[in-house]
Amino acid sequence: MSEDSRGPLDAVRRLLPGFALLVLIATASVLLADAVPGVNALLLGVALGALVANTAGVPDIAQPGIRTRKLLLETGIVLLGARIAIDELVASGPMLVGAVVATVVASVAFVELISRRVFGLADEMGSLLAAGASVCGVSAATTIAGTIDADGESLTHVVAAVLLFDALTLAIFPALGSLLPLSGQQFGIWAGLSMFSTGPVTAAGFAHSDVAGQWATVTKLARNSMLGVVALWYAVHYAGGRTDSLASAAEGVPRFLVGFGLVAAAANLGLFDPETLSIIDSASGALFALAFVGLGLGVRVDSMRKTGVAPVVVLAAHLVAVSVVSLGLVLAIF
Amino acid sequence: MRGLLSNTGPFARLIGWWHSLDRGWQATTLGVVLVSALSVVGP
Repeated sequence: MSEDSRGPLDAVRRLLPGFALLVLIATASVLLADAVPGVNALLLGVALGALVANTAGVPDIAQPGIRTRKLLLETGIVLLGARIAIDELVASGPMLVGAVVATVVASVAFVELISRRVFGLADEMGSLLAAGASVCGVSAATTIAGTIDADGESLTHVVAAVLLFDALTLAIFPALGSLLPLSGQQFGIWAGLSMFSTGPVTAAGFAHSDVAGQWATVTKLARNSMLGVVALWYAVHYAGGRTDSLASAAEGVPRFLVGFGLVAAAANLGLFDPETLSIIDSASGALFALAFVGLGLGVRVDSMRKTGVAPVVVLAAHLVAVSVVSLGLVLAIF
Repeated sequence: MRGLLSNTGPFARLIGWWHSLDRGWQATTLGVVLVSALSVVGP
């Protein structure tokens, strides 16, 4: 960054156009969803964002502001900590952690197996697909690519395939949620165990119900926190446990979990009154609305078309297998 | 005011520190600051 772009006014000028676009589309989504019964504002925000990005296009000047979407999402999750009842979490905790660990381990093994033995993909491509599908989508694939020093082209294909399934599952899971006789907790945990990336999981959960949104987010955060362990395993597997790989594995643990835990602890200690909790809730919802519009604006149909067939088939097989098995698991124990 | 908003003023140093954090720490910082501010001025 050049020295003259470090001033506060430069930062505002750089971020304002994209941020204004996020606010504009999010506001339109909320107003439209209020006017049309049965339409969810968060999902509509993603759809409108994708529509704008793939028709009118997004000007370069708006890109820096739109790239704040992940920060907005993670800050929204930190604030969501205020809605987490730790006693409920502790009650379901051991079963939830068991379900997450079992799902991630089985998912990694399944994708590694079919990508190499059935589809004959290169080892690195299989590992990127396994991490992306099993842990936390693009972030996991990117972290593992750094850990195992994968080539850029493999990562590009995997990222495109993951984004394709993020878009598909964001449409399919809420529809299935309205058809299947699942409680909010069951649907949230199911989505949190099965879908790939944090943003779509959170959006699908809240599209079902507030309770589902909270459980989907908590389940997904538990999965995300497995990234360090998975990265560590790949570092040992590929590089014989080099120190730099181990260090990059430790980098894989999402830092916003610290903020989520702090806010959840403060809320459960009774530091916030009900009015404050309601305001924090609204702020979290507003951050999610902006982040999900950004998620839609990041959808590129053209780049998804360039994805090879094999990665898409591997992820489809994984999604079907994990969704079916985790649905059975959720129905049996939650 | 001009000094505050200059490229070497306190806000510029704050932005420099902000950029030195990774996104997860930025989210934690922003979230904790927002929650603290809302709990003070909100009700």
